[in-house]
Amino acid sequence: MRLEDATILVVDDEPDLREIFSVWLERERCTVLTASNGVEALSILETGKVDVLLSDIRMPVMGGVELVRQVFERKLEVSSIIFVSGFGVMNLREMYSLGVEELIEKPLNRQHLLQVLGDSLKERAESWLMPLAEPVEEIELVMESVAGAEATCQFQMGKGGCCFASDRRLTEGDTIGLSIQFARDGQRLKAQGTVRWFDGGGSQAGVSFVYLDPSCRDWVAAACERACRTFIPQCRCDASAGPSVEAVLLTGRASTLK
Amino acid sequence: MQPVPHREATVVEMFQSVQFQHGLSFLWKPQLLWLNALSDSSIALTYFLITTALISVVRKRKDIPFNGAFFCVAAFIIACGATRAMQVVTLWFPIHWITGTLEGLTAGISIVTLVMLGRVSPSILAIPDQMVDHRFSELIEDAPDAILQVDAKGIIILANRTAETMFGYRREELLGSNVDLLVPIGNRGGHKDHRQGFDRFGVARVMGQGMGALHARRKDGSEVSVEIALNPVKTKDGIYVTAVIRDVTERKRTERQLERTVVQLNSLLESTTVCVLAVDSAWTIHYLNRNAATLLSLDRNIQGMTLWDAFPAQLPEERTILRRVMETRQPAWYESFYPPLDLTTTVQAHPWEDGGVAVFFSDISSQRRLEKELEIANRRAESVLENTNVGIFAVDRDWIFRYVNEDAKRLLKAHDLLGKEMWKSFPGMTPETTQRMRQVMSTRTPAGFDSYYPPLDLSTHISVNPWEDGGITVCFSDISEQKRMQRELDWERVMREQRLEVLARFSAGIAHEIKNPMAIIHARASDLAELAADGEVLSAAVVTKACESIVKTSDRAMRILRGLAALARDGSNEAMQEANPGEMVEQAIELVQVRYRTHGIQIESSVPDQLPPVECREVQIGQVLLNLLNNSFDAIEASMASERWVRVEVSEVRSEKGVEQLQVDVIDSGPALSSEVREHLMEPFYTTKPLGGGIGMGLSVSRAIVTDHGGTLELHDCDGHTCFRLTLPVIAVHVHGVAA
Repeated sequence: MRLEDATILVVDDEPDLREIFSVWLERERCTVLTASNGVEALSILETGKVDVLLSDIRMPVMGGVELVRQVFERKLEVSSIIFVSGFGVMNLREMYSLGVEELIEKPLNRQHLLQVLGDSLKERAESWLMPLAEPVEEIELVMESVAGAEATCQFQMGKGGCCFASDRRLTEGDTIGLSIQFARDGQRLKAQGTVRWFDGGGSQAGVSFVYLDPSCRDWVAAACERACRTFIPQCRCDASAGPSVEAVLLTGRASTLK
Repeated sequence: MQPVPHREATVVEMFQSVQFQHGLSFLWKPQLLWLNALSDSSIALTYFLITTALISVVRKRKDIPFNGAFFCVAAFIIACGATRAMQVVTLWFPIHWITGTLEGLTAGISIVTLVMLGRVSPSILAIPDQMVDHRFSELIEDAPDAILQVDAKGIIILANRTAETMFGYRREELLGSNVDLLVPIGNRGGHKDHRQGFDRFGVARVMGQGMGALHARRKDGSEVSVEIALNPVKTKDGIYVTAVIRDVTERKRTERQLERTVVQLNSLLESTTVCVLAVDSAWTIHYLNRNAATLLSLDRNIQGMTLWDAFPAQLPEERTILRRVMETRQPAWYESFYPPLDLTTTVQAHPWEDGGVAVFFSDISSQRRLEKELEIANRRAESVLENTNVGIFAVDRDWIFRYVNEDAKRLLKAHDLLGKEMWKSFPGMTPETTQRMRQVMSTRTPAGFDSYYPPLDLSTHISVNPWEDGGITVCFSDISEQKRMQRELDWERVMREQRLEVLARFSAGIAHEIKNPMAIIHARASDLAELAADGEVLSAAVVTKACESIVKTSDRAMRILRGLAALARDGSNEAMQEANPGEMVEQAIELVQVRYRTHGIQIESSVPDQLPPVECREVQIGQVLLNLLNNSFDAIEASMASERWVRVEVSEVRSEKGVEQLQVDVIDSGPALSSEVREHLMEPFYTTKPLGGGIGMGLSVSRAIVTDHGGTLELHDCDGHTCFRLTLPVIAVHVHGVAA
């Protein structure tokens, strides 16, 4: 979708910012809707489809986080959710898990805003076609099955990426090559992505996809669609569940093959 | 012979029978005859007896000279006696021839005697007066010294009785012996030469001068120490020497003893720890023992100097005392201080027999120093004890006071406690203290704890111990001051932490509040720049609008920053200043506004116009207001209530005089605090929950600040909502236009 065809909802309690964002987006001929808080935004969302929700996090009455929760709870139709924040208090892992796909920090200029909006409006498959020349790191894992891995939090898929357990140290922002063999399924994930978060303690990483190998593109895209709302899952299981013995064993073997 | 003419017949017969012819010589009177016969017989007998007596005397006194004369006189007397006896015989027997012969013999003897006497009479006259000689000899005999006279050859010719006893020889043995007999055998050789030398020069002198002690030898071979005076006597036979010899053995012994005593005394004086110094009547030092010299750092050569010269720095008081001792001859005891040596001594000054003064002294400097130190230590201990603030009391098993010390009375501001019951005397004890005391009483286990006695505002540290009588003893020290200091310290700390806490709490909101204006300014400016770069012609209206927005927004950011700076400051040392309460409230609200807004909490304020000014430390009151707003925020966040609002209402409190106080109510939608929390809030701050505990945080500090300003901070219940009411006195009774 092109920017000019998109309907964008700007939510910010700062009238000046709302005004400026509106001016900028209108210049691009998008349809711009504005709201000063989450409650107002929800009422607008209730009335029609919005392509991009561009929201501040801290707002009176209802903030950005609650707004996003409500969006999914009410199953409102929003293709992309982007946060604009003056203060990086948001935990990225939680944010991606929440379903937000990008965070723009204030202050921001017009170009950056338009760039992020443009990216988010691209079709997923479209954006996953271009391999990067040289990934910083190659990770190869072997897991039993997608379902089993998801159940034990070894591997989970989201709309925009995946999380997985790894004993490799990864650096947030790096681009990596990722290859996961699902032995029982006979499936293989082969992708490149950007490390969005890395949990040193549990050695889990969240990666947003940049490129999907054609061999896996179909099933991964399908899985991504199934993954309901999260952009990148948190790879967190209920405390009671815990990883299965099998998964642990698998994980034990799942050291990088490279 | 005449015949006796008359006689009685019997007598005649007797005459006739004996010698009739003598009757004629005595006229024939028998009485006359018998008178003559008896008288002559008596005389004859007496003559014989006298002679016998004389002879026996002369025989006994061999020293009596003129023996020949004696014998002549004796013979003469005997001869006279014999003629008398013959005359009695011739009365009866006419042996006149025999009688005549005897008388002739007697006459011859008498002539010889007369001649003898004539010859010796000059010698007899030369014999000294017998009495004088006797006295003299007695004197010599009984002289205390032995007296010998020796002739030129050394033969003893005179020895008195004392000599006999002194040398153990009898006089007969001494007389005629050589005087060397009495000289110790070893000295005899030399003695002869000495004697002859003496004889030559013949001057009276004491013997053995320069020879050391002289000794004489006794008969038993022992020796006696002697002193001998020699005196020459010139005679025709040469020089006789009279020696007067004194036994000085005893004296020598005494002298030796004395000498030993002196040595002992001296060594005693030298070795004693007491210092001794003696001066004579002219104050000249003539003795100084070693200790004294050491102590005074003096050469012992100062002996001979006067005391005044030796100790020029002596204190005048001491000199006065010493002079008095010298004059009055009364001893004195005193303590002396000698400045040059920093020396303290205890001194005894005694008048001395030689007219001087002996001074005995010993160093007590270290003693004094110790005493001084001890005194200081004692004073310290005393002062510590006096200011100890430890109260002690004892109660028996029925909680009746049995002992209460002064400190306890003072601290508890109570007297006459003995015999009274503790709980009745001090009813206001906190439940905790009560419980712990009862516990000690029942378990007999000691306990120590901090306690607070509200009626006296007394903070104490208590140590409770079971006592043998079944009761307990309680020692407690006043730590109110400590607590107060601790409180001040804590307050300081809490103030600081509170500021930090407030800062931290606001930092997110404030960053947001700053970043938002920045984002606006950034967006506006970058937009203009981009538009210009794109070559668009910017209308004045567009630029003006953008710039106005930039100015307005940057002003907003500046205000936030100013508020932040005020919040971070320690306002306690700032001067009281006149301030507009309305502005202060608005400022505080502005600071929390963002936070409230982002949490969906509505904040309302009602501030009347023309409020009277208050005198305050703006920063501190601002902090109090912020604190109240934060507490409200916390209370709302903690509650599940649907209503989320805070109201700040500023009003004036009026009296007849006009406006006296300013009142700020901070009311929040949170539930009214439970009584438990309310009680907690009202406790002194040191018992408040740790920081971050939420409700009540820093309230006591706020209250202290307000109290310091002469205002109050109280918790109210306004229609079921929590309401903190802050009052501050206005500067002067402000006569409001309307009221007037």
